[in-house]
Amino acid sequence: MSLTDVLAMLVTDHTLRTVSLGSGLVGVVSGSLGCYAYLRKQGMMGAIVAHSSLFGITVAFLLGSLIGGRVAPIQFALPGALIGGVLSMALVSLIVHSTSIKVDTAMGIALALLFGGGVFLLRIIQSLALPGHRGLRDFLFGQAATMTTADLATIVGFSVIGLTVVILMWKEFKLHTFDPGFAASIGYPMHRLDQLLLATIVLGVVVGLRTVGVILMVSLLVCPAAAARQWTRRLGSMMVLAALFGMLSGVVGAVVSAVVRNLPTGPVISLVATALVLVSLVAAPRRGLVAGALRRAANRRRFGVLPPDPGMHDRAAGEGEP
Amino acid sequence: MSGDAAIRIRDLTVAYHEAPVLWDIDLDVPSGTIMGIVGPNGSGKSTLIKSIMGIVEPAGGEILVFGKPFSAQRKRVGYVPQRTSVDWDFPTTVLDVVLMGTYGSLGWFRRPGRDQINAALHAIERVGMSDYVDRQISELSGGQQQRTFLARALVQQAEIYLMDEPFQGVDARTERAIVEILREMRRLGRTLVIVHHDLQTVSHYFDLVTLLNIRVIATGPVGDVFHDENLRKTYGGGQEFSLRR
Amino acid sequence: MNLILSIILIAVVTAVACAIPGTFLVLRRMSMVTEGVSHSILPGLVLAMMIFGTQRAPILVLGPALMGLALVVLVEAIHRTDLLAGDAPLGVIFPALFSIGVIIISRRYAGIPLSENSVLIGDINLAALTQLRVGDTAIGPRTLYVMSAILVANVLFTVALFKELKVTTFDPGLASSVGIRPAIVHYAFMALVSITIVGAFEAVGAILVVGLLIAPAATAYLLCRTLRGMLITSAVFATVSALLGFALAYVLDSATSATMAMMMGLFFLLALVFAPRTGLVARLHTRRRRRIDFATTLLVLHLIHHAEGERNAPACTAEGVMQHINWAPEFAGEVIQRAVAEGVITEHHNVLMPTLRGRSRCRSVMPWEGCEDPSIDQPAVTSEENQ
Ligand SMILES: Nc1ncnc2c1ncn2[C@@H]1O[C@H](COP(=O)(O)OP(=O)(O)O)[C@@H](O)[C@H]1O
Ligand SMILES: [Mg+2]
Repeated sequence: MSLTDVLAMLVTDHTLRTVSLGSGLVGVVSGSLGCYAYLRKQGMMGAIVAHSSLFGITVAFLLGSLIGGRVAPIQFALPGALIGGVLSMALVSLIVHSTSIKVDTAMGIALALLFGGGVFLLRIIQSLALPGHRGLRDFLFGQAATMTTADLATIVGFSVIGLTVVILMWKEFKLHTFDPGFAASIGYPMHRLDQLLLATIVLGVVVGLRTVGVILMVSLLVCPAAAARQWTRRLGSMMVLAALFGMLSGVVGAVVSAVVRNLPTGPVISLVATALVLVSLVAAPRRGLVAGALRRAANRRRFGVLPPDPGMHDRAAGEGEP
Repeated sequence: MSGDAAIRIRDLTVAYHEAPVLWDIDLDVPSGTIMGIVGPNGSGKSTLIKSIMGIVEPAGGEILVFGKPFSAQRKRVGYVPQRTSVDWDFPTTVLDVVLMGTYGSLGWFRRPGRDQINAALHAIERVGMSDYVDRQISELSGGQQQRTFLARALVQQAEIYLMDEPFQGVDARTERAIVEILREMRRLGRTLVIVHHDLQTVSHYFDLVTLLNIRVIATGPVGDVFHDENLRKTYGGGQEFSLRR
Repeated sequence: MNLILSIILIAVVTAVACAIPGTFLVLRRMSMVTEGVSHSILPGLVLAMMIFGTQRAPILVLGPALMGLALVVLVEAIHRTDLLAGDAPLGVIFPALFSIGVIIISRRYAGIPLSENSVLIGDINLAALTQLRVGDTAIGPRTLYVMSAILVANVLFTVALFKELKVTTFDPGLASSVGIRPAIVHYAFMALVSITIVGAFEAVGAILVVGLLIAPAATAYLLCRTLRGMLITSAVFATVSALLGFALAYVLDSATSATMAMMMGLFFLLALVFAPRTGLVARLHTRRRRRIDFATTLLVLHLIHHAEGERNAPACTAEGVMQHINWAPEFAGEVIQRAVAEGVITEHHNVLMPTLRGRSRCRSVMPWEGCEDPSIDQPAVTSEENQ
């Protein structure tokens, strides 16, 4: 299938349009909210939140099946995922604050308990062959191709909430992340802000679970932010760029996996997102590896000697500059 | 006595875990003076500043700012945190950091506008950073980072300033420039409390000094309390400390 | 061999083989590195199967293990460029490697007996069925032999290099100064961790293995004070969790691997709440007691401070204390009662006074040395004087 065929399908094919719209939006939201996960150095926490949400998904599905009623149990999955994700954050923070266990180990424990518990329940649901259980499989590696208009509506809802919070709390989130001590000194409620920010990050994870899956969702959270950081010097432009990178990964992943048979969406999205990071690391102006090498070479020509790593991070260099 | 005390601390005790980090602190900072806080690493200097600002919660005691609790006087107090306490690779610029000084008076949700930007530019000019307004903060030297923090504090338009090691890791020229600004602030009637680690310069920079090591070892005019015996009590007897050059 | 017995043995041996290096992973703060390694061995395994077929056991373990080591090296290299913050180098790289593996599997290349499901949670039943053959006779499940060998290797490595592991874990600086190269120990250890993860892959999959490595060791960390004790305790918890996990999975028709991991997590929760010294219940208890102890000392100190020269000053009444130290009335009342009961202060006509015992208590709990409060050495006010 050629590129023009795909582009033509994007216009004519209703399903493909829904799929790329939904995945693009997921990329926008996860990419921009992921900036906070990245700047707070909590990238791996994103992985654990995604893994752990499986517990919430399966519990919600089981409850939905038990209650019965007209709503399909699978519709409870995302709210359940939200709760599962928050639960993992709460567990990690409880362990870190009440014992001397370090955060990485606390994350491993959350994974054992909540991902283990999630798979435990998933298997039981599959053994019981509860109606609709096949839909749960899509949450593992993501499947954009089966996205329905109802799914799209859910994604839009989550996106509106997440983006609204980030825009409303723009300067509060920024200051709290950059300088929590100063933020507290002017009266920002440190714990409340922390909780709101963490909840927002969980939202950024959960919105993409159906598309990317609990295993690889961390890519869409961390990679766009990591790539965008290389190109910009302001939080605002970083977020916009991360949103674009996320959208690009989402749309490419969704379209490729929709038109190629037997290809889950998550891995394609993850590969595109990582590729964007690698390209950015190498090619970004000022910070990038190529730019750094060129600068070093130029300095060598100018001074005849290799100065001790004249990278962007050389904090002693500024004072004598023109 | 308490009438002109900008900050008045009574019986302050702070503990993060079991062992107290500050114990039974009594301290008065008269209005319109520069007070240095001196003590070895881990003696609780930063903790003292943070308790005044309500960032850490005391186990007991009382802190009054102009006769009222800090929470009622927030806008009259400016803060310069320890430079190393923030992530300098954060994607932001000098102007943006200085603008953060206006957030306290802006209140929730509102963004800084023209007035705030002008105030920030003015403060940046005062600390001699006008050429770096748009510079990414990771590309600043230690001295420039400290000047940026100082400009942010100036924008706060406070009456009391608490500064945590503002001379740490800065070059001699910046140190002189900062001292000049501090003196000018005092001339305008501001009260400054400054955590400091260079014993040689204490008597040049400050009117009053507090020697701290979990407890207040001594506090008062530099000429009265800043002598070898108090320093030995503060820093422990093992080392020889001498102010004679 | 009986199928059920095979499954149980595989579960126990795998759990213990993971718990031993897990102890050092927890102490070395490398728990999340295992999340990366465990994901990245998948493409290694898939590639090894494509190239060498599925029957060459040693290569199918060592090949993917090299991939795990490669991830460690790659992540460290990206970390050194200083371009990505925090743990982002890890979070960026491992999903991509895992994705390559998943894509190859899902395109169903011939000859790779992996499904997406088995990648996640392993297939312990299949592992128990796949027999190792010598000539024509089946001598038991292949995985059991592989994991037993890995368990033995882990135990031997830990025993042989106990001192080196211990020193490089707690004090890398000291290690280099006594001639132990932390880097060599680090990479040797990570190689063994990679091999362990590859070996466990067939039975428990790529993700749950992180739980098997970390959770028992973390539980032991809460309960033990010595490294040796931690190693033994984590092995015990691993065994018990494996047995209970198998039983529960068997009854409820769930996955043994996931149930095992969940059990390990539950045991951790139990320890978190009920551990003798470090558990939440015990800490709540001691924290409350310490708070009152601390407050009592604070009260005595306050009274000593104010008793000098202003004996009946308002600060030395219950109300004065509340005001000065800023305590809530109930708390102040409780502390005063306690202090009187312990004989460190006296209360007479509403005036509080420190006693001799109170003064000496204050001196003994002073957390610093060399700067005694001169007022403490003043003649003490005993309770008799007040009567
Ligand atoms: N957030 C914290 N949690 C626990 N202990 C802390 C914390 N901050 C500081 N401490 C401890 O309190 C003591 C005093 O620290 P600090 O006030 O930073 O000292 P200084 O600024 O004089 O070097 C040190 O022993 C330090 O380890
Ligand atoms: Mg300090």
